[in-house]
Amino acid sequence: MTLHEDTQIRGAFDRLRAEEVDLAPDFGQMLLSAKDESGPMLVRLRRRRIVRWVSGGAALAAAAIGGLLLGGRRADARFEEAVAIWRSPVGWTSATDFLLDTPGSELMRRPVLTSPRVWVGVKDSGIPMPTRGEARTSERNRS
Amino acid sequence: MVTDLERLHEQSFGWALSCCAWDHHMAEDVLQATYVKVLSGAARHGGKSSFRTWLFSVIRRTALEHARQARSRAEGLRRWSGEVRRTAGAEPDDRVIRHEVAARLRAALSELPERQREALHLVFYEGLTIAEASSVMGVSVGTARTHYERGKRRLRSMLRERAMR
Repeated sequence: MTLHEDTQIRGAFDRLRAEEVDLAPDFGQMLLSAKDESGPMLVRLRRRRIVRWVSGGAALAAAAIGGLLLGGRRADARFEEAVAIWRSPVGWTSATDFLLDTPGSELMRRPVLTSPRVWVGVKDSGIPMPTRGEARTSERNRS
Repeated sequence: MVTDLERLHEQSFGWALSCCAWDHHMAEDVLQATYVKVLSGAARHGGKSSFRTWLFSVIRRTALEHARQARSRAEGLRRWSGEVRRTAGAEPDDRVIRHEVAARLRAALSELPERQREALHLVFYEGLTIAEASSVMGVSVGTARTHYERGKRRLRSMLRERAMR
């Protein structure tokens, strides 16, 4: 598009603007009625802002309380679990246990306090099994 | 702020008229509603753009809201009365003085797609740069430039056709 054509369009717009300038309503009057209208709108806006703040605060408080309760329960569960593991004689292992795993260390380890595999066969065969007390005495004698 | 509003009052009204398809009543309502928004603080100038650019974008948004409300009201009325009625703002108001050149331009602008009309009005009527116009229209500068160029081409051919009639 040439500059001349641009000028033509600009000229037409200038004419349009010149017409419409006279049609503009009085600013003072418009401002006055806008001020009258803005009063109730301000109140509405303020109310809306307060509601927003209060509901936001309530949501935050609820989230914080929920978080605290959930966190507390989780901590309790973890503590209970740790205590249960610590109480059971075979379940607990130290974090540094792997340092003792040297070649041949399995020979040094005390036998696990469960009925040995051999007793299962004996039990099935009908031979009377020693009671736990008897088994402990024989173990002590051996050592 | 009031002095800024007063300084831009006539320009704002021109922009409101364009946004309302030259419906005088609706343009007045839109401008009034815009002033209410500005004075009550419902619309706040963040300082990212110039006051004029910001004010024009508020006028544009308010006009869109009004048009939507008018459409739904007209739709309700049409359903209620059971006949098709012309929606408000389709024709320029009788109060708008009809100078030949201005009338021809107004008629041609009414036929342009909304974005193209907005771009041309903001640049030629309001004297905004394309970057400022893009900010008012809420589009990128590239998009505004495309609308501006296409609009100019179409407007030129439309004005030529109308002059020959």
